[in-house]
Amino acid sequence: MSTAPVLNHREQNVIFRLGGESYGIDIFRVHEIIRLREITPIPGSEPHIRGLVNLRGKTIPVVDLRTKFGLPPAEDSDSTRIIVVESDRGNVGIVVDAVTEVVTVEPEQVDATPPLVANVTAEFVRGIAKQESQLITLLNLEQAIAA
Amino acid sequence: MAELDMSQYLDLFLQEADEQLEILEQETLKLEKDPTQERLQKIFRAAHTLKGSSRAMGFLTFAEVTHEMENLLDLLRGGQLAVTTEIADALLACVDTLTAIKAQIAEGRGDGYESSELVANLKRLASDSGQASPTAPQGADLDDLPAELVQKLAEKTKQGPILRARIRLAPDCLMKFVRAFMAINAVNEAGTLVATHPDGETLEEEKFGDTFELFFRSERPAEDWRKTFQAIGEVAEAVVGPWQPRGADAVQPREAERQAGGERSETLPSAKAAAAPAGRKADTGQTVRVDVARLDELMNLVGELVIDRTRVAQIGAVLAAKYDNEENVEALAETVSHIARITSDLQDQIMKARMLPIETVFNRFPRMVRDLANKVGKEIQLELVGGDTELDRSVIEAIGDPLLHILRNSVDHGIEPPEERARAGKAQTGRIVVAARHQENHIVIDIEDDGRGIDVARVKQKAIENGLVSPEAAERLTDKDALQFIFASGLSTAQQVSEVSGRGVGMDIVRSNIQKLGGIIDVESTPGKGTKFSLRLPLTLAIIRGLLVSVGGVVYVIPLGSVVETLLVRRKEVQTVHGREVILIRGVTTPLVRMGEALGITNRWERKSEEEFFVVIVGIAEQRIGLVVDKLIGEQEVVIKSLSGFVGDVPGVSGATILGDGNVALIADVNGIISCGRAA
Repeated sequence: MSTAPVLNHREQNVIFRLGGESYGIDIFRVHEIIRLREITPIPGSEPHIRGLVNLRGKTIPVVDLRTKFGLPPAEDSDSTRIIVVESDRGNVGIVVDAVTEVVTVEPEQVDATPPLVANVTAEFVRGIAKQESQLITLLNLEQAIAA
Repeated sequence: MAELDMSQYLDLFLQEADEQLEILEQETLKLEKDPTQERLQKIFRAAHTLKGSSRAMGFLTFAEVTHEMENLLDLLRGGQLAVTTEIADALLACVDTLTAIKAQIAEGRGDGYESSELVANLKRLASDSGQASPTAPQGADLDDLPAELVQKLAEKTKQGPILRARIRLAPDCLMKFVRAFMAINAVNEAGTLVATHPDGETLEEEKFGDTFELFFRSERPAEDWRKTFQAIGEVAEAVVGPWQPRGADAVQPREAERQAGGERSETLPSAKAAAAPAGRKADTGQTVRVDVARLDELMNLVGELVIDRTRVAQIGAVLAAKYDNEENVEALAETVSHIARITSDLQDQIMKARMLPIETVFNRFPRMVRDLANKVGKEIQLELVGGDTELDRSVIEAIGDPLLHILRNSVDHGIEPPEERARAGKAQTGRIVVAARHQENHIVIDIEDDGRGIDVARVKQKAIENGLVSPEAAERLTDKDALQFIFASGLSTAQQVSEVSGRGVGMDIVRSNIQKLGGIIDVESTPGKGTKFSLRLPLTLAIIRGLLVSVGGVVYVIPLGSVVETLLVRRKEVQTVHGREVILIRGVTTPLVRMGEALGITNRWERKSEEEFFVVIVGIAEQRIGLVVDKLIGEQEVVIKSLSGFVGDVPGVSGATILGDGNVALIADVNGIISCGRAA
């Protein structure tokens, strides 16, 4: 298993910051990136569901990855964004500290075994991409947003 | 070779089959009680239409069943057979089989279906007609030939085959005898007349309806003769086929007629063929079939328009406050109000387009009641009132099963067996009335039977046994409150209760389904007199009027359908019973549920020591409960959006909506909140 490459081909990833680290999501999974807007909490729902937002007349659930990853809560700021991704149960938003860039990840840059630097549970991670200036945790999106 | 794309025709076929099968079932049920010629004609036409279209589609099993149905119906139509329960059963069995085949076709599994038994049964019933001794109605219908004539013809057939011509004159034909005479002359020119029916004298005196028959010998083929007769003036229809003595195969000449009639209707506009489609056209009017999905999409779009309308109105109000006296602001206000009006109209129209008469649900009942009543040996008369009451198809789809369930209970447990009814001094035939009507923005459906009623003592006892209530508390319960236990899940599954006291099987599911639709179900029962279930349902599930309240900073929409009133309650008015807060409203003790605490938004230690607070009184059946909220915001029409499947089920929340300011609000599930409150 560990010898099989994580990526079979070059992939474009949207890079975002969360708790001081960089994460990447396959760009084909990203629907759009919106500014933080009023999120209506749903009392009684799963803790990692932060609530619902209005996306042009449709209500979309928003997941808080901090809760999910066990990170300490942070204040929302000007750079906070909601990345709307496509999941098998409809569109879902994820709140991130900031969206930084889009990078091309080559298969040979990706390490399957997550080094200890990542403070995220291994099941949410596809692999770690080593770029010149940074390490990017490539997210396993379905796992990361699932209950 | 390019294959003909049948899929588009398949949809049409399935739609038509739905319609015609419905007609078949409905009319057959009525036929049993009221066997009119007109009704037989209607059934026959439906079977015939189905036969034609299924043949065209190559569904031969389907076609075979409808063909045999036709044969049987034809005998009924001709009076050779009388409508009996056995025949009605057989016809209904056909409907069932055809429905099953249709479902199979719809699933793309073709029409292969084991129907040989059914077909054999139909054939057997049809052949029974030979034994029936038909009595010919005087002068009017000529379907049955007098015995002497049959005998005479039977004699003559021994000398060679006889042709039978059935000639129908136009209804407004003035010289019937002249036309008959012309036909007879035509026969004499190229063949030998054997007999006429009625006889020559009756024909001469014109004492016959509009149909007469000629029996003759000829070498010319039947089709030639048909053309000859058809060419005579004022002949509406002529059918020619070989005649054979009854018993051997009495069906034959009529079979020939039908074949001829059926095929001709596609080519020649004969009076008969023209009349049928004309009648149907009048029924349907100027209509267009629209895919339900398209209506749903339209409804969604209008929903968004409604949201934007509210939003624009709010922005307009803000601008008006900011730039007083500005010309454009005034123009904006006018435009906004115009858009608001148009949007409302548009919404109304689309809602109407989605409306269906509740008949579509009611139509399933007579069959079920008939079959079940026969099975359990009861006599039941079912009355359906207000079938034309319209409601949204989303509601229609959802209420069928709960209604069937209640009705089944009425038949099974409510109505007593005939002997028991007789002993109780009631009419032997039990009566169930299902009535629908509009009431404001709701539809109310009552299901009332005149059966034995619900044994309240028994219900109480069961409730105690199931630990739903303490014996002391049960003692204090009014009959009305005790009846509510039939909706409790513990009771419903207990089979004994359903046997002894009547209702109970799955009533909890019925209630929860009704509540999911934002409806209310109530029950009244008088021992020995009967039981009445009342359902109150919204007309649509897509848009509701709601009361906006704020709880712990979250805006909830409470469906107005469940709101009874709103109150400002003073702290000192609140009393405590068993540690639960209650208030007295006009002498009635009403429990309070702190909505924030029930939903886990706030906890009781955070309760502010406010002097007064807002209470929304909600009604669940007869029960009244006060929801304590932080703020009343107002009343608004909202478009219901389901919570994303991603979020899953959340207690106390049935959906979400977008308010005029663009923010998302949650739609409160009143029952859910109350059960949360109880558990807290």
